[in-house]
Amino acid sequence: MQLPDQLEFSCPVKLLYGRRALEHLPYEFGARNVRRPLLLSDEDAVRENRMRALTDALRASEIELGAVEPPAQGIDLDLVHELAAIYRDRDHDALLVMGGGALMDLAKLVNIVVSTGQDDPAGFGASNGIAQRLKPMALIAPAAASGGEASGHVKADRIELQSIHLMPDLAVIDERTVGAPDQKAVLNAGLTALAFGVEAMLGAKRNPMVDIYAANAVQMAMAALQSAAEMPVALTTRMLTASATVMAGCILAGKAPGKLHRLGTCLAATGRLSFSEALGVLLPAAVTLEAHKHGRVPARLLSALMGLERSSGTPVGQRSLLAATALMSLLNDLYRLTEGRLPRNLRDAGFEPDDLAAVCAAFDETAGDGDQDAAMVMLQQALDGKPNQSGC
Amino acid sequence: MHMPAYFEYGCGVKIVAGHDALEHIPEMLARLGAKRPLIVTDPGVAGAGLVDILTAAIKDRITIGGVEDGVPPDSSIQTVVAIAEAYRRQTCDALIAIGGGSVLDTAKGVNILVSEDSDDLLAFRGSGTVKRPLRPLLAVPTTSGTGSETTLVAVIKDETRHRKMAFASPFLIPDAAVLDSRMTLNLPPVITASTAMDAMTHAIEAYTCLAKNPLSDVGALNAVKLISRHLPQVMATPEDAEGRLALALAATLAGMAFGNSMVGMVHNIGHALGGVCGVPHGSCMAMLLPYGLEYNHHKNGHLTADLLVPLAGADTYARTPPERRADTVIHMIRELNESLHQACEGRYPRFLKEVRNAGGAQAVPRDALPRVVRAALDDAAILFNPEDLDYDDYILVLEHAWDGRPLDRSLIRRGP
Ligand SMILES: [Fe+2]
Repeated sequence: MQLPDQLEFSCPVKLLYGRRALEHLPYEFGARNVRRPLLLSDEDAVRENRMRALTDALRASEIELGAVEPPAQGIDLDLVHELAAIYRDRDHDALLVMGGGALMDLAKLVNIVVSTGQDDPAGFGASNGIAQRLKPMALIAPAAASGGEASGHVKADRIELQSIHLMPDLAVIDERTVGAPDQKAVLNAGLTALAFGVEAMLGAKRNPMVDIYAANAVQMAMAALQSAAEMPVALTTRMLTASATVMAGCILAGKAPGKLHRLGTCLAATGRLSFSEALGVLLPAAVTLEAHKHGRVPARLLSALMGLERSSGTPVGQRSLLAATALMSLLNDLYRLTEGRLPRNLRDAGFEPDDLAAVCAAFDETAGDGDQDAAMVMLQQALDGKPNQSGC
Repeated sequence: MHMPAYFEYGCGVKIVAGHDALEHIPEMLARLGAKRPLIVTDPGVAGAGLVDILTAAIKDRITIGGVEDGVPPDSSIQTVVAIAEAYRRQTCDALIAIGGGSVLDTAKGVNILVSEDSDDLLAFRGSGTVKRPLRPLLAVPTTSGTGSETTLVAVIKDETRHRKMAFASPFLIPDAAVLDSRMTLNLPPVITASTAMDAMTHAIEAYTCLAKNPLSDVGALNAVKLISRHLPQVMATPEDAEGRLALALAATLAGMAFGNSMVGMVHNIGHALGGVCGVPHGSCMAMLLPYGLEYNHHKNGHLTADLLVPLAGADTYARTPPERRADTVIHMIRELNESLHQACEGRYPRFLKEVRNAGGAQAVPRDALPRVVRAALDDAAILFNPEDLDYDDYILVLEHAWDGRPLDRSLIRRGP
């Protein structure tokens, strides 16, 4: 790999993965002087016995858990302040989140308020305005994740913030709390993590530290997606999905999202497909485009996608075609598996050639960095999901 | 991808690397709320002019509270207490440790005392005793090997009781590791080669031993690739700043890998050899690495085989029949040792019998091997080695490594 002249990397998240991972929480809390974490959990935590698993794991320890179950819908500042008041009144010293998506966004906002004393998190500005360490935060990660949970991003109620300090200190993936079998959630989370990983391994900003998380996002997501057909979704598949999304969050960290991510957001904004589906249909095009730009697809990406034994004999010049083909055949398999509900390309999602210009214009507004041409090439290629060796 | 039933992975240290990474220190300290750092180092590093490079890079933008350059080769409580006093006297508010493992361990110890406002370092020994963030600490490694800039451990000697104290806490991890190519540009060839082989061994043992996980695996493979590609270049062209930076990054990657996935018998025997015969750690690693892979071959040969990709490329891996790959890897490591021996004009030992001490005498007499074995039997690094070793097994390995003969695999006793 070509090493960058300047490199900056950090990932404060410690991953605890596997059997009885929750039982390691008391030690990790103790080492961080945490005695009274405030737990934010989703509405299914009790019904699915996840709450029981957590309290069992903490029972023999000195950890005193306080729990709240915020309403499932909508984060607003009032709710953030309400939870911040509970945190202060009950003398909590850390945040513990069991669940994904908006719940983690909520926790990040509460943490800003209780750690900085600032009532309006938006006051920190969109990018890296938070200068101080926040209160310890631990995520008990589900398979049904958005991919942003472990990142330093928060997006809620017109607030959008990025900071490395918003990343959780701990991400726990335990068999008892990874969540009930939900094929759709596994597919969405898997595709998102796969896209984050592929984009990080292709980009000019690739470096050997980010590679650790990127290669694992790709290989864990591939393994999960390839076994998602099994019903009910196997425990190992859910464990892999949850860890792939933690990898995705570590890749994103406190950085601005990349091109693929932004274009996916614009496609999802049309309402015709989800963010994860958008990332999925764009992936083969992203590989061919970046390979065209940088001359090659890294061998490590190919081995993460299809295994070392199958990928190792591929000449450098054929790697991008093979990588794109592997991704397309994955999309075809998932299309068949979901009886057409998961799109293979933009036409499956109802797009026509004439629709692309508007998406492209919206993309240009988000970045304005002259990447519009590249976006158009990706969209055109994703329309029919055909490989395009020329790149343009 | 190998998913263990349970694993942990994390590395809290921020990595800042580049040819002028030192120049970033003032803004990094400012972001951490510090204005007056104390520089901690040892006489060798100061004498080599590296502290001058550091101070020149930062002095216009930050006030240096002082320079303490007396850290001994084995960090001690006495040194830690003395430097903590200097820190307070000069009203410093952060630490910059520039040097190797001992300097960094000392700075970690100092940081405990000044942050906790204590003079009793022993009160904080053990695991998890330090429970809150300490003062900002930046690590500037001056060799590319130990990887200690990434670890949450400090080992400090208690002179009065003649024993080593271990301190472990997530808060001992430095805030950042600053990797600057200027810090290793003038390392002598033998040190360059042997420290790089220490890093190589961290990566390879992390990848092939029992505590491996899929995250440390990727970091380990990347480290092996960077070292195998850049070490020969740096030996041929010592002023190759790109190569120096690549080796520094590789050492940090390898440190992150073994910090999470531990090491095996090469470190186990190496610790004993270092303790009994005074052989430098990196030399021990280089000489013993092929033997560790040979001894464990029947347990982890398939993992050793994977190393052919970063060592020789995916094409060579694909061309080599699967059952030959591990042997090819072991052969390549022996060849690398041979070429480093030549590049160092014989001063880089390949076999135990070749090691000389400062006076030119043989450092490892053959009759010292039983003492080395007894020390190895007491060393915990063996816990994660795939195959067990008893007294006779150690002797078998050490005698082969002494002579420089490949291990006769028919003599290895296979455990369950
Ligand atoms: Fe070592």
